[in-house]
Amino acid sequence: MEYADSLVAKADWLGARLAYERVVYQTQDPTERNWALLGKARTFKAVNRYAEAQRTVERANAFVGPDSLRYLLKYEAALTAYLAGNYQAARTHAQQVRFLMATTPYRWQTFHLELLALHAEQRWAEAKALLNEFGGECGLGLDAEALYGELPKLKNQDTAEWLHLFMPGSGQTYAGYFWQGATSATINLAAITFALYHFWQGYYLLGAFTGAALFYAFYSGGYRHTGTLVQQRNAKITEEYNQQVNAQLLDAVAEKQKNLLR
Amino acid sequence: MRCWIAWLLAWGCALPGFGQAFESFSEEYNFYTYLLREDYPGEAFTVLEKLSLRPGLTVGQRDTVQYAMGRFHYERQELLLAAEAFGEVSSTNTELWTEAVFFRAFGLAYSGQPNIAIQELDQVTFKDPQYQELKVYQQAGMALLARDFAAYEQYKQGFTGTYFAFAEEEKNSQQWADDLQNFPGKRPWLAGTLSAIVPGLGRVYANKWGQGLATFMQVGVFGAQAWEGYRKDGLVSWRFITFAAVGSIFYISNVVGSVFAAQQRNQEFYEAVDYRLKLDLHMPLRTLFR
Repeated sequence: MEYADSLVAKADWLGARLAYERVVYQTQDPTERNWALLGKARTFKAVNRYAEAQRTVERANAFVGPDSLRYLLKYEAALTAYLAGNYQAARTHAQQVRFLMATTPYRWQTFHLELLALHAEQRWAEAKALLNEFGGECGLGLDAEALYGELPKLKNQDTAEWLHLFMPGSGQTYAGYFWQGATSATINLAAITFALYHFWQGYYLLGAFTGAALFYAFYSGGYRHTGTLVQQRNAKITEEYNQQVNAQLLDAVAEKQKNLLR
Repeated sequence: MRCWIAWLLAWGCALPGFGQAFESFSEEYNFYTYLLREDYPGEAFTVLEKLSLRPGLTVGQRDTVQYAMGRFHYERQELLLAAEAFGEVSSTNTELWTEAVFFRAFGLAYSGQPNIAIQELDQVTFKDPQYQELKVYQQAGMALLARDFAAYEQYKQGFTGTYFAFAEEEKNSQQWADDLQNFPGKRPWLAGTLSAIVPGLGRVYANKWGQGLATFMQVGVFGAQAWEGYRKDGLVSWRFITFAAVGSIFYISNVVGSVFAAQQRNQEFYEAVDYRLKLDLHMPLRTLFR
């Protein structure tokens, strides 16, 4: 283990990974095995390979060893899962600390990860309810109402697409992209006008194959585009809101850590 | 004596990557297989590489490492790298060497070097008659990959059809040989001409019915609109000029596209036969050397 740790100090990540895995391979002591897996997971994390870090730390038996180690295993599992974008797994690991280590001082140490994962999943109402319920116990000193304020309203993709079906361009406008909506409406209108005008003038082939075909292409393309725009808008709303809420949450976590060290 | 011990310790610590005393060869090799089982291929390969650089390996140990490297690449379908590693297995007439010879030949043939594989197999002889016939079968298949039908006919004389592991494949090889020899091939110039007469017909000739129909529709739609423009407004009208121009572009593309479609069809046929051939060359190796 010391050898592996020394390689970590030299930032020799591959060497350290092998050294830790060798410990896992050779040791009969489950606690030592857990420490080695934790060390190995951290070497993956150091080079931003979060999914592999998560997989490695999840190999550990988190029911073995002292509370401090068990907590670290779960914390690392929750953190790497969150960083890898596996939010449900992140919440599960974080919750396990809350439930399975309820009588230890670590109980609330992963609470913020649970909230962060909920934010990433756009489940702010649940996060708010959770903070409302445990805000006093968790020691973060945050008021749920103040932190979350008015929850963001996401655009509904189905609504936007239906709007586009009835009035091309209105779906994009609903998604918050007025000029794209206006352009789409104009193009669709031009195409259908072209088609109708040529039918009226007796150019049936031109009206059908160019006018109607163009209208169909823009109409169906606009439908797909509307969905994409709604997703873009929602991602933007989520990012902006999460940036602000997460920053406050992490500040509170840092403050809590400072107070613990005092 | 103390100096010697000190020197040995210092030398051991200075070795790259080991830092601590060497694990025994078998211990390290087992660690490699353990890493593979745990699905850490990158780490496993690092262990294997370090093992191959370890000084003082016996010939048997070196062969084991090279074979393992070959298998490592082979499992990841890096067949040329696998062939290179298998080629380093040196002690002849061992089970490991026999496998390495066949897998190397297969790797070379699969990577587009069937003639080299045939030549290499020519230079080895196996005591076991089953392997000897497997060699002949592999050479016959590789000759087909190289489109050397005369060589295939020669190798085929050595087929007995008595070995379960590749009796079926021996039979199949005749089918592949017949397919390759009898395939008339689609003539690109004919495809182009047909499409010039009836848009899309060249693609139909190249067995691409869907593409042919789509091309016919495209050219037809623009042609019809050009005709409508001409009928109602005459030759000098924007409707006729626009649709005739666009239609002409589609028409020319249809002719050129049909030429390529015929070439593509031929290529697809040969690729399909080669794929089945390679599969048949591979299956006996999987069966015999699992």
